[in-house]
Amino acid sequence: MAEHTPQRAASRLETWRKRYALVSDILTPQRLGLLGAVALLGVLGAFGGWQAVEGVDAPEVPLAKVGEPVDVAPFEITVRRARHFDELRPALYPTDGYRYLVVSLDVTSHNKTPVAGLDFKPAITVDAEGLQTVGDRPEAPRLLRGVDALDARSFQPGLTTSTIVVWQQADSTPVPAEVTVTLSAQTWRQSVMDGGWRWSDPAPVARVTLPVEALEAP
Amino acid sequence: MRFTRDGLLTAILVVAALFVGSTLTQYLPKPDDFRDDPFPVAGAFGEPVRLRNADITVTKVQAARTVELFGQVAATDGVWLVLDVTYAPRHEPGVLVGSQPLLSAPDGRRFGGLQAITNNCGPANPGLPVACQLPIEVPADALEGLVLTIPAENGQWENDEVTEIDLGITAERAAELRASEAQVTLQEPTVVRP
Amino acid sequence: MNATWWRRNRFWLALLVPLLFLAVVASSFRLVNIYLPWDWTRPIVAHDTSGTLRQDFLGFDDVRREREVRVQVLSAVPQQVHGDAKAAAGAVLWRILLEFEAAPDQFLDSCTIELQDAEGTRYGHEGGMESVDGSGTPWEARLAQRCVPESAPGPTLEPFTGKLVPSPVERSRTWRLEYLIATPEAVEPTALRVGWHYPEYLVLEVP
Repeated sequence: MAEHTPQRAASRLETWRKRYALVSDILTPQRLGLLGAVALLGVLGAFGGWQAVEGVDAPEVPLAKVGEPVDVAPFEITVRRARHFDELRPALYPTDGYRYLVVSLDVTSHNKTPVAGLDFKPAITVDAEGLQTVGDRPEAPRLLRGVDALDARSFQPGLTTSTIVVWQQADSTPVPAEVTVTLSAQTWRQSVMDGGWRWSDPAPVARVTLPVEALEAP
Repeated sequence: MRFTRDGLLTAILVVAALFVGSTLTQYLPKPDDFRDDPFPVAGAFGEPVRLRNADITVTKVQAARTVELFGQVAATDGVWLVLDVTYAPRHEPGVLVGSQPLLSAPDGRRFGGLQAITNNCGPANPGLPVACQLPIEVPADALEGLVLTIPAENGQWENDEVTEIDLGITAERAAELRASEAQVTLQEPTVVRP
Repeated sequence: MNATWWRRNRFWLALLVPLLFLAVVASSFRLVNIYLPWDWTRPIVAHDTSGTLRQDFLGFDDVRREREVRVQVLSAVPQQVHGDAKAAAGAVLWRILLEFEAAPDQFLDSCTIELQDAEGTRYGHEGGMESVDGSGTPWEARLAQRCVPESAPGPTLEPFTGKLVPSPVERSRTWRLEYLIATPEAVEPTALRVGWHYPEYLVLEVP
């Protein structure tokens, strides 16, 4: 057996070698490689590999209704009312040049551990104009608890709390008839910068449009 | 390259051994899985729990509808659990920050962190323990079987000691606590006799 | 492992023990004690009531500077009440008078001062005391400790910006300050620790 195999293999290889020798002065291995690369690029092009990547339109953020619970990881949020006023003592004092624009929500955290109030703030944004800014970014709103008007510092798992989100809007801007609140879900992941785990990447999951009411006289 | 039968067999055996080995190591526990685990120190309600740097005792558990401190009143949609805790550092001055204790429920949920009203336990010097009342807001359905976990060092939940104090809340006690209408004015941290 | 084997490998066998020792030392906690000293790990023991602290430190402005200061414990008197503070039940207040001596350009504003007893237990300025009027924590316990006179603090660095704040009035070469630390009644402090930046701190005897 051993004697036959090398002979057969040798003759096949020999044949191919002879054929290649006929063209090897022009089609050197390097040129063959180059031709191969060009052919590859051509094939890729034929399949659309070189077209500009089209931007995929961000899908429309779905509309949700007032009073409808929305899943906004890690929370479940129900938007209730939006109001505007100049003061609401003892929690909110009047500020020169600004009025308060507040949205009240019911928030239930579905996380297994407490979530800091700071981590709730990216979940909610409002499209009103003239909001107070820090540098060129909108200032984060203040969070108050509906039940006692104290600052909402953390959200306990499974506890539904009435939360008031407070923004300050410049007096010079007319009071909006309605506002659209955008709710964004977040992911608990490790930061690529420092390896720390935190709530990141807020991504809008729902919008709620609601009328802005004046505060009823006490 | 010469392909011999023995050579091929060796190659197959090596690949098979690598495959089996890597599959096995996937199921074996790795150091990374335990690297950050805390060292729990079990303790009973009413008894001092000895951590490496302090002794912590839970002396009372009560429930309230509202808690008050320095004129600020906090209400709740759940239940305010007020824990009477004594903090006694042993070797150097220390403080138990009120947002540190976490209550562990049997279903895996944990409650605690920053509260609407914060009270710290301390600062305390060794030999001069401090008694304080720490409020933690919990949902009404999560009272049964709560275990109090407090880290030896504020903020350090990995690789260090953490208490595990069963608060002894049975189903009946949970119903009692849920029904509480108390309005508690929190005591400021006070130095007590050791 | 016959005689030849032993003879052939005698050099490496002899080296084995010191190498093992080095391996164990390499895996010990040198990181915190030597490379990243983020605690009070290097005492400068004066064996006297006064001593000089010399260290270099990184300020809030990321500039490395040298610090040299001489501290003397003038007195440590136990008492029950002082100013707004009174000792808690079972405790005693130590009223400590320190004299500092340093060049006016030294950064010395916030420091840590603790009493230490014979067992090495440390006592700080915040615990063990109550306000005389019953309103809870006295002022002495609330404020961070300062080691420089209020009106002439010398140069300081702002914590978050690292900005250098020059002293409104040049600090004199020596100054005295008083401190209150509460310990349990039975404790006899044997040493006073003063430190500004990890890891070096002065250990002075208490008169």
